[in-house]
This record gives sequence, structure tokens and C-alpha cells, in this order.
Amino acid sequence: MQSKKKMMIGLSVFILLLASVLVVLYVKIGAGNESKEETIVGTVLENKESSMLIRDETGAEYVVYLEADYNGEEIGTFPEGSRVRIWFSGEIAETYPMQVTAYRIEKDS
Amino acid sequence: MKKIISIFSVMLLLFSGITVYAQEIPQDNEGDSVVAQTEQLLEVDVVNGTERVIDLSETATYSMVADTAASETISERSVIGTDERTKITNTTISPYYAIAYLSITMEDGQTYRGTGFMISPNTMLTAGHCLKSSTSKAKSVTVYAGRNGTSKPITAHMTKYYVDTKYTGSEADWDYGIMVLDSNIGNTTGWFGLHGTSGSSIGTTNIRVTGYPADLAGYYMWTCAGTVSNITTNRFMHTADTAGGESGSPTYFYNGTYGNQAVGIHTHGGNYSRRITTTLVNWLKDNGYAK
Repeated sequence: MQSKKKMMIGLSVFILLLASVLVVLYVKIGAGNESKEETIVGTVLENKESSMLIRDETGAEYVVYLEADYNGEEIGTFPEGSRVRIWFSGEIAETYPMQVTAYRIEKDS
Repeated sequence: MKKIISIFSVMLLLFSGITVYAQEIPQDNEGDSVVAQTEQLLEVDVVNGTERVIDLSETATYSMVADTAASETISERSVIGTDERTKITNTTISPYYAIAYLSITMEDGQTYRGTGFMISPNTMLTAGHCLKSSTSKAKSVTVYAGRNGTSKPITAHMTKYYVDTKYTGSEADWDYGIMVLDSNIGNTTGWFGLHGTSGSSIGTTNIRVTGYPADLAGYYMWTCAGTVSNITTNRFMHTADTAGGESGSPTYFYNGTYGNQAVGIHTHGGNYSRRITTTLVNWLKDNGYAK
């Protein structure tokens, strides 16, 4: 009887410890998969069919390309002089003008 | 009870932060495992207008390190400065003369400024996005080695370039380019050695990035020191200050045997460099683009 009780306690402890290990692993994996989201607000200086040149408030210029699976509004709908907000992964390629690849573009009011 | 504690201890060891370097597992930038495959380069001859795809296979004996030596044609060597972005006032001394301002024109008419660095008499390395975007590719690149404001001590033009076929405009892991020039300006400017590595180390923790940032007035060369972190199979992070215009800058350190050796190519703000791998160095050596 006593040994059965000991076994039950041991099993409970084991399950508890196993659960804590799994929780730690889940948190670690979750943190690693966090996707970055960055935005730039700027004025359209030049509008091409598949890319556009914008200038942000600091005067920095970016050529905005579209991600392969971009399904937002066509670039042609953002006329030169309009203010836009660009969503991108956070990667800024450092040519000048700099290059970003947008997954979302919206008019900025 | 003892058995349970033992099992738990083993599990804890397995899942803890202890790293066992039994085998290098290729990873992409997110740290995910990737299936090993042959790298391929797109060769573009801008003079003849021809293109072809070639394998970038590991032909030399496998090694975790592949080195080439720097060429310093001028006896004076610059003293490495402090850890702040500083302007290079004499750009015609080693290693600075081997760094070039790039004036890039894409086929769609978009123009860019960038940076590149000599690795042999007529070959330079730069970022892939200096030569290819998701919608276009380079039509012409004029190379101003050692440019210092309006002073352009030596000029060359790109005749041919190579970019990885996996780079289509935004794949940072494959963001590197090789440029072949129309003259052997490297015999005058000198060139960087290469320290190609595989595995979890790039052989140094302290690096320097030198290039042509656009946020500081004029067409001047600036340099900044930094440290390396987050090394993956194809990229690493660094703390050197950079800005737009510095894509393609050498990320390098000084080696007593080989001279100034590039370990990476600066590509992105944040700050990231594309790693110079043993595969790349061996291909460059095998094809006469690095010595």
C-alpha cells in the first residue's frame, strides 16, 4: 500500500516536471517565431508599375518593392504626392535609395 | 523516486541551453534547418547581353576555413581607429583604396549608390541587391575606387556579374554579388583577402565596416568598428554603424598573416552582413576571381 502511494507521488512529480519542461520549450519556440513588423510613412515621389520611390519625414528615400504574395492595392492607386504607410519585414537593404519589400501598403491620412 | 529524478535530469540536460557541436546543421536566417543543395550563380555578361546559370559547387577539399591574402600595393597601412564612425581622409592607402563607390543603373532606369570592394586585380564583391531587384537587374555599374568627394582617383566599369540564383530580390541569406571589371584596377588599389568560414564561428568577434554612407554629406568614405553576434549559416549581425549607400561594404578584420580579410558583405540595416562562406571562397579561387 505504502509503495503504491510512493509510486503515485513519484508519478505526479514526474508529470509536473514534464509539464514545466514543455512549457519552457513552448515559450522558447514561440519567442523564436515572433514575426517582425515595421512601418514607414512617406510621400510618393515616383510611381512605377511594380515599385515606387518614397521619402519619409526625415528626408530618407526608399524604393518600395512588393512581396511575391502581396495582394493589397496596386501601386498605381497611390499617385505621386500622396502619403502612404508601408508595412514590411524590418529588413532595409542599404543601397541609396534604400530598398524595402512591402507586404501591405495603405494611404496614410 | 530516484529513477524518476534520473529521467527528469536527463530530460533537463537534453532541453537545456547546453550546446553540443557534434555536427553543423545548415540553417537559414530564422534558424530553421535547410536541406543542403548545390548553390547556383546567375552569370550576366552586360557587354554581350548573355546569361547562363552555373553551379557554385565545393570543388576544393572540404575545410571549415578558406583564406586568400590581401594585396597591399602601397606600403603605408592605416591605423585602425576608435569605435566610432570616422571619415577616411586619405582614401588611396590600403585597405581603403580597394573600397569603391558604386554608381548603379538598373535596366528599369532606377539608379542606386552602393559600395563594393576589390578581391583580385579585376574582381569585386558587393551586395546582391546592388545588382538585382525583384523587378529588374543591373544594366551598368561604374566603379570609383577610393572616391573622396569629387576626387575620383581611379575608375572602372562592370562587364559581368554573378548573383545567387536563390536571390530574387529579398532573400537576405543569398544577398551577395560578384562583379568583374573591364580593367585590372586592383593592381593599383590592392585588394582584400577573404576569410571564408563554415560552422558557428567566423574567426573574429571584432570587425570594421567601411563604405560610402549617403546620410553624411557628399561622396566620402566612412568607417566604423563593431562586434559580431547572431552568426547563422549565411549571415551575421554586427554593431558597426552604417547607413544607406553602404550595401556591399567589406566587413573585415586585420589578420597578421593574410592582411585585411573580409568575413562578410554588409547588406542590411539592423545591422547584417552576408557571410563569406568557404563555398564562395573556393569557387572564387577555382575560377580565378580570388588568389
